[in-house]
Amino acid sequence: MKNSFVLKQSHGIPSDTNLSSESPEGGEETIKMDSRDVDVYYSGKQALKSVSLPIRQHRVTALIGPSGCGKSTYLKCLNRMNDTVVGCRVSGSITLDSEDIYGPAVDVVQLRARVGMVFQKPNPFPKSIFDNIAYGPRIHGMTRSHAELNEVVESSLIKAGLWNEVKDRLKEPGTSLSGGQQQRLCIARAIAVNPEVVLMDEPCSALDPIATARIEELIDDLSHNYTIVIVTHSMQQAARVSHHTGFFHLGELVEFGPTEVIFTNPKEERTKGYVTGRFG
Amino acid sequence: MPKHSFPHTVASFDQELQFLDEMLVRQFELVHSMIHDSITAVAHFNLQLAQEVIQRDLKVDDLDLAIEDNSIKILALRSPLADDLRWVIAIQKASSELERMGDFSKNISKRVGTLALHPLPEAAGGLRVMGIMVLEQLDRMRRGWIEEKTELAMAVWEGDAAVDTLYDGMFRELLTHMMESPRNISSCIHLLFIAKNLERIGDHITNIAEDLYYRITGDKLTSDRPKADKTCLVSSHDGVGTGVEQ
Repeated sequence: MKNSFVLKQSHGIPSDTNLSSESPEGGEETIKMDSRDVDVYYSGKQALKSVSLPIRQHRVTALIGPSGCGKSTYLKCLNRMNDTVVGCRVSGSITLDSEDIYGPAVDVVQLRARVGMVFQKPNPFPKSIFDNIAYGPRIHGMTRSHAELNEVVESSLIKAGLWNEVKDRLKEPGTSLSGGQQQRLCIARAIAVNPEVVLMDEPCSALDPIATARIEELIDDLSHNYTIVIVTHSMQQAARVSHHTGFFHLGELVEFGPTEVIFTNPKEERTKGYVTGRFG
Repeated sequence: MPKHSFPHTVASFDQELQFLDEMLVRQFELVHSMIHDSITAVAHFNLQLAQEVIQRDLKVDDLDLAIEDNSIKILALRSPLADDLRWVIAIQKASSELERMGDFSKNISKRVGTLALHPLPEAAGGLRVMGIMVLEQLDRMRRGWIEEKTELAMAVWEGDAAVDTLYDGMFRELLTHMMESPRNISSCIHLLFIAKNLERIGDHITNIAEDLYYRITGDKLTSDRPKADKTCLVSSHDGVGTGVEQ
């Protein structure tokens, strides 16, 4: 699990009592995506106001806030999904590995392969389970043989924790799976093209608690190899899965910091009000 | 309840937190009366008052259990966060401290009968002074809790050294009485335990000060607490022994 339970030597516990899990090398330090003064307008109406937010590599960053606060808008900026929205204008700078993703030379299709997305409602293609996963690698020309494609499909399903449940029914339609399985199928589909960042927009809001727990466990596993940004309405979920949390309100990033600080000792009154359920 | 511009959207959550706090304030008052009455009972060899104190401890224990049950319920059903979370945790911890303080008062009261058999009035005076100081500390703590003032928590935290100094003095005084006559030993041992109980009550009040500070600020009082209990260094041979200081 994430490294929230770190024992400090000063608490009188011997330093060789290693109860904390290993942190990925350099994960805490490297900024994978950085945003500076991001403004977003929908047909002239400002939806995001000067948002600056670092997303750390191989870490889970959660974005919380009430409906309409701009968290999903911000998420969509990270792989330029807002490009498809008529009347949407984005200014400021967003970088992926220090390269401006809104730069003129950027191929948006390639960008979305590097920054994948999982949506609120599971949305498998009306194709077989196999073809759902194989779709991305095929259009990106990532595999040279059928055997190689099989391998990508299998490894993606294993990473998404779905392989054992579907290995004997790969030809069945993706839509025949349960809601939780469909969402894991969508996660497998997202990671099949080997992205560096996975964006998740309320990935569990349509799932029951058991399926939610499986996705959360999966997020934890995936965070060792992928950088994850998750938008969630469930503060408990943000607390459980993320290392850093940003609180949005009325288009502003009100507070950003380590998750345990946001949930035990937030500095801003608005954050305090929101996380304690007092929004007036 | 934590000070906020707005109440909780779910009003019953506010009521549950309020109820928890009211129980703790009631516990503060009961423990205050127990300490006060146990010292009075010792000073006047009042067995009936001592018995009342012992009975009152049951109420303090009941309140501690009720606070624990209600805290667990709030943690499980409301998933409190930020200052709400700190509020519940601090109340639960403070309640355990008060419960222990109740036990110490009960222990003091239990010794009244034995002390009445071999009165040592010249040694009991110091206990009264110590009792008054501990009660002042507890009262300051209770006000700090109700008014949510870190200044009062800090004052209590720093004030414990004075209680330790008094205990140190009592220790030396009782040692002297014991050296004067072996007949004093029985009473002096009981009085020493009472003084130690009061000193420990002082420590528990200080723990509550730390709980309150955490509850209000989210930070811990981490620097070393001021301490002045040097009794581990005192010996009957030459006044200063070879004990290892904390």
